[in-house]
Amino acid sequence: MDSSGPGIFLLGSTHRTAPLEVRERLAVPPERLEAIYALLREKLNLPECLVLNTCNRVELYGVAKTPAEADALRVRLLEEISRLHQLEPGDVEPYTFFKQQSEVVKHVFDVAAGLDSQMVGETEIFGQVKDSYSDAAQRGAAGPVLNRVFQKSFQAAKWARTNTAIGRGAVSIGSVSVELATRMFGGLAHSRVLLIGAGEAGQSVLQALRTRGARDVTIASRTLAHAVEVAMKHECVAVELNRVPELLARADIVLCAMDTETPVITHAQLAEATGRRAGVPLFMIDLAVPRNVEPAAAELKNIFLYNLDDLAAIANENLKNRQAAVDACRVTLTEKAKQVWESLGAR
Amino acid sequence: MFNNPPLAFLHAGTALYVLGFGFALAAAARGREHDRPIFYALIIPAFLAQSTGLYLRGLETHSLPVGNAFELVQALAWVTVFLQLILRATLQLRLLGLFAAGLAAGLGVGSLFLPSAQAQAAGVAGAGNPWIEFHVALAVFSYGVFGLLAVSALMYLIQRHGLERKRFTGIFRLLPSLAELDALNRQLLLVGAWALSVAVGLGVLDWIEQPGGVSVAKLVVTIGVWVGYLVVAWLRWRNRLVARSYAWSCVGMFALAVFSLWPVSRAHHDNASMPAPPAPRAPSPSSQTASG
Repeated sequence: MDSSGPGIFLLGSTHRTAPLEVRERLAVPPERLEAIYALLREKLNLPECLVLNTCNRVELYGVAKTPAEADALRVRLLEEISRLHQLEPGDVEPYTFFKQQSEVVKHVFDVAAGLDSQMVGETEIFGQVKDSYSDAAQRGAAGPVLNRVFQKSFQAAKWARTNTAIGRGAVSIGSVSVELATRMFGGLAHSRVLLIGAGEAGQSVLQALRTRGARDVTIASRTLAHAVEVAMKHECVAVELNRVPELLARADIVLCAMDTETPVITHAQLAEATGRRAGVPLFMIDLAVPRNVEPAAAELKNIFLYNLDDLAAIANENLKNRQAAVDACRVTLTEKAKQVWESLGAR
Repeated sequence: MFNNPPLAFLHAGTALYVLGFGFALAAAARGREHDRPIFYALIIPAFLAQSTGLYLRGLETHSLPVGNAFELVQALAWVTVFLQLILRATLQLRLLGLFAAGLAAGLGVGSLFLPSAQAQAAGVAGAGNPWIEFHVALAVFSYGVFGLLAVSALMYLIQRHGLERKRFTGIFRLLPSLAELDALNRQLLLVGAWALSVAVGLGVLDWIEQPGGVSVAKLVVTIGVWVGYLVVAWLRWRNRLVARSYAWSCVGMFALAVFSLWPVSRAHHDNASMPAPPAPRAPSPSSQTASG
């Protein structure tokens, strides 16, 4: 162990060390956050501390007076946290990890940049780390060491996002669909969406489109009552399935996610609809297996038909590109973390 | 070349356009947007060098520097880049700068191989007559608009090809959306068609005044290009020429327009060689001489 520098340490449990059911038990609900800070500051007498709590990780950062003291705190902290969660330390320890000094700085840099996330390069974690730091600062729990480490980690995360490919490309079916729709229509505020089938898969892609501004949405389902129920949830219009051919002529985006043995949309129906569309492109996403749209429809002019395999192939390619960028990004972040650690030791 | 400062400036401008285009294209091929400060550090000096070169050529003849094919092509590239720089401030369309620089580089390099590339500045026939100069300026402006339209139409075709072939990486994910490009294409066609219509109208008034002052080749080609663009605009308005076929028409029409510069510039050259009219005339549309 490096005995120089401040006694910064980290006790954590993440998706890398613990299965979902364990993470659920270790999660810190907002009402318990105060108790954790009280434990770290008053019981363990730490001058600086910070709690990072997301769906995939619970991490407790602290700064002890010396590295040796930090090392000694490990067992006690584990006992206290286990007690707080009403668990035995022996049941918790296998799912945790403990880091000290420069390793902590490097870890914070990786986390903030999304390198340690389950979905590499995701951006949500950056906001979560910022919120946690801001919360700690408001409580007066973050001091000179954590201030420097976290602020520098934000700069490093921005650098990584701007200069490497770790955040590039959509990696979920919903986000790939949104990116494709954006490439066709730009903003989605004026796009008319038709969802055929009111199941979970279709709704999840619909939600992604709505998040990006799609407002004019119509849902068609075999059972009108079900369509109405889902339409109310998404604040849109419900229609019966037999109105689909007529709606094809005015829709911009058609999401097909109906559980059916035979195609819901035929080549002939689409050919008829395209004749009335004056060259406006129609983006069709067929999420169903078996497919809801006759594959031959892809040959029609101005029809852009993507099925589940197409979307998955795009998502996988993007994920592969992100993974390829991780190693290069990690090298630079390690170097940046090292500089921060050295500057902390020089204080 | 260095004995001829205007030519040196035009060559320097072309070289910088090539560099800027190459720089941005290399980034786009890797799926990254180019570094804008570096890109514009190449394109703006290129534009300024080209402006200076054209200005000096204009000073030599006291007229617009579009007296031969070389100057016309250079002026066309200049207008295209000028329009892109203006549009950049309002539209923020990604990669439009790259493609406009590509067109400027292509036109600039192509102009160097023209027989008139080494010729002295020729000047516009009828120079000094403000209506003639206005007619020429409008015609060149409209061709510049059509140049940018061709660029934007090409971007549309590439984006569309990517979506049809399900390409998601590289340059495809950087291009603007089909809808944005289609809207820009419609607006540019409208602006270009109006500008060319006014320019042709002024030319026709001159031709009525002096039927022998304009060569038949120039007349046929200019009217042909104008009618071609009007037909494209009408078909687009009637939704009979849409999407890919519309974009190809815009690219094809611009290629035709560029090639038409040769007979137009020949007519310029021939007319510029003619003896000057005996006395200056009043600056009205009905008193023009042959023009571009």
